[in-house]
Amino acid sequence: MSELILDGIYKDFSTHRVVDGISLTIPQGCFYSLLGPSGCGKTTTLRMIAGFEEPDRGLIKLNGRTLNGMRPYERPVTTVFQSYALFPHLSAAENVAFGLRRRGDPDTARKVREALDLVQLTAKADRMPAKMSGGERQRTALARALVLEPELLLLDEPLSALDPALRKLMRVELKELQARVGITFLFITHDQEEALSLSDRIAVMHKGRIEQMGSPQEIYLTPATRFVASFLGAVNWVGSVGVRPELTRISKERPEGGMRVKEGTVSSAMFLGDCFRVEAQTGEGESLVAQIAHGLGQFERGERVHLWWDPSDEMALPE
Amino acid sequence: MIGIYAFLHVPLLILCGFSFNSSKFTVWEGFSVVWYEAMWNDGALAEAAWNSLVIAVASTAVATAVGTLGAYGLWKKNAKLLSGSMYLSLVTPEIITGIAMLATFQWAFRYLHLQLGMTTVILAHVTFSMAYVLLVVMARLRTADPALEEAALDLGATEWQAFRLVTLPMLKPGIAAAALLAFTVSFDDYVITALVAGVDSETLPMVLYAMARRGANPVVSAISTVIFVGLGLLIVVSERLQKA
Amino acid sequence: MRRLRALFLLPAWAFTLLLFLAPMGIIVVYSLRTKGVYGGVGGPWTIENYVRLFDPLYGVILLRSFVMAGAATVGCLVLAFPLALYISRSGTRKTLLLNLVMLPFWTSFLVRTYAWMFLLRDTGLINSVLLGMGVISEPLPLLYNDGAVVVGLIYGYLPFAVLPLYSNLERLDRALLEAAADLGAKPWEAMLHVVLPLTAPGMRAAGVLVFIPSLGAYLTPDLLGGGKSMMIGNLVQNQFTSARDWPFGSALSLALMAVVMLLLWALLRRDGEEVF
Repeated sequence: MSELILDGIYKDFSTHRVVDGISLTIPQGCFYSLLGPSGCGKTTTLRMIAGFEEPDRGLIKLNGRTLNGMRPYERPVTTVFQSYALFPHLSAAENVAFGLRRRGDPDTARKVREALDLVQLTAKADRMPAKMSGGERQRTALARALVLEPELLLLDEPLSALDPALRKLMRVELKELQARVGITFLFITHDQEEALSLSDRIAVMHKGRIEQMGSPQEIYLTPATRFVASFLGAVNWVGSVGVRPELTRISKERPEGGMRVKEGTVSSAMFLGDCFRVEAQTGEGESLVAQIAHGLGQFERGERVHLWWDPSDEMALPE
Repeated sequence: MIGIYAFLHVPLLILCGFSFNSSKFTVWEGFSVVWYEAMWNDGALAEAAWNSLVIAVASTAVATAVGTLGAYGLWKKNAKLLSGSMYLSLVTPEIITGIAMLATFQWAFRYLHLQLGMTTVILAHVTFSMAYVLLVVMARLRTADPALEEAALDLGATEWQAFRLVTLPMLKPGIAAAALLAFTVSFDDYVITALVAGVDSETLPMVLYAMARRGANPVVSAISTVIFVGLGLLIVVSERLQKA
Repeated sequence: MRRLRALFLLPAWAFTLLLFLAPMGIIVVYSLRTKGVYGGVGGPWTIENYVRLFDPLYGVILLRSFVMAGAATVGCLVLAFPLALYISRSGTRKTLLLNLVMLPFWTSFLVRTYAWMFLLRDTGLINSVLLGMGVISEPLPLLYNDGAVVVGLIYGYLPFAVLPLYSNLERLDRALLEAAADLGAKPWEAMLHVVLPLTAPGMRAAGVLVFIPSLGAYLTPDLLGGGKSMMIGNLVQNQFTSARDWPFGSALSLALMAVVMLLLWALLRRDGEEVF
């Protein structure tokens, strides 16, 4: 069995419970994301797997070996830090060679070359961290962690330090890289779009617990709790039922039968570039949003409209 | 770690402890304040302590004023010769500062009918403690927002008012810390003082030095303890005042 | 604000010009003159005083000064590094521990030096205790030697080494140590390959800040070395008092100043703003 198992992990910082009984299994070769808002315990979970913190209770097992009590330098796990933590006195190549040298690897030079090649940094091998762009730093950090061929790679919000355009580009690269090396990635993020687009599986964390585990589609389309539904995207709440704005339609006329319909008055209509966002207030005091494509009509503030959706798109989530 | 802290503190603690020894020798014979009495009744010592206090207070007042104004003048302005001289005066070995000042005073006295004394000591102390003040206040100014003064000018304050009502209050803690530093370096100085002092301006460190040179003397331990406790109290009180 | 600032600079300029730059100028002039008949300065212009710096008679003292200042510097760094490292990792007790290091520094330098005389002299505490315990039958010559001077210098200037090292270590990103461990470095390897190289600027600053005052020390060799362990500072003082050879004393002073300025220049050039 080739996998990471967390079994009933608890961690307190003084009197505050940061991780409150987490259990999960990550299969070999999986791109797994821990998604949650800041302070949900996801970074602490990662730090316990890396060995920077010890859990108060619970087992961490990797490929059958218990990691509890092992020092960080003894664990077959490497980390890409949020700040990258590149050694400022070492060049890209020397940073990548750092771990191999500690092992006394006789093949250091070749492995460093290959790792830099993998992240397309061969031309920047001698560059110092202070002179690198954000993307180059991130690639160096990745190469430095991957060159040791870890059984598990931990990534602590590795894209958060990049500007938005570069972030999207690196997201694609990261996904491709993982497919190529086949190493298990455990990816920590608070960005639901990042988690949805990258992961094979996602665990959504909230207040130290896992709220839901599943594939990106499962999590997005059939959220288990209201927290998960709201954290992954906007929701129109109608009583105990929620529906996503992009699945909500809007029209002046009443739609054909079989649809759930609400009547309301347009309170705002915004052009967002790739779509329109129309917000309407219903007689019951609900505020509903419809996100509609171009050509599906123009709506003015104060107009009476019908908002409707297919009942099969509803998420039944009692409060 | 404990060893290093012991290295730093044990010698002073032992010195303080033995100042309460009833014996003249370094063998503990019992608690006594006999050396403190001896210290108290020593007229020359009292005079030297008084001189030290007068010199420290006077030079601190002048050095703090001159140094603070100077730091403000140097704020956002590059006067390399002045700031360079200040840094240099901080690292110049005291013995060199001392002999250079002595030579200058001697030279000047050929034309002026003056002699070494309290005035020359205070002038020398102002010069070396001013550099400390300047450095501390400048460090404080470096973290200050120049837009505050610009806002004051914008709201109709004159340059002087902007300095007096905006910058100076903001600098207060820095100035207090600088004054404390100036006071301690002045009160403590022996090397420069001994060179530029005259017959009427013997200071406490000069008396202490002479006693220490002469050999073991428990009175020195007693004075040391008083200085140690006194400066400690001064620091504690000033920290309290700064927080209040 | 320009005029006001210029005005504010005047008193500082006056003191600096009259009591620092002018005195240094006078020393420069004196160093090029000859000793006068009555001990003053007079006679023809000469560079003789600078030539005499290389006289073996003084060379011994100059060399000793460098060796002792070097020993004090090494001693300070060896003690200061673990201390600064320990303090920088002490969480909420940092300020307290740092203040404890600075505390003796706020006491009189003279008192601190005297404390060591009290411990080291023939009738001092260490000898009394050892004699009392019967470990030795005659007092050990602990005071008035090079060793006593070096100990005194280390004691006097240790805070100068702790402060720059501490601020360097304090700025060191903890994530770098975690990264090193994560990549398989044992604690001592992380120390050797990450912490030490990254604290080199702090080490250089600490070294220079201890070496400069040690080289120019006067009081410590005077009190703890007696007449037997003279350093440059004592030689300078000697020329201005008992020897009454002001020109040579001036040349000595300027040579010392040149070393001080060279070291400082090298430090600032290399580490620049990082240090101050």
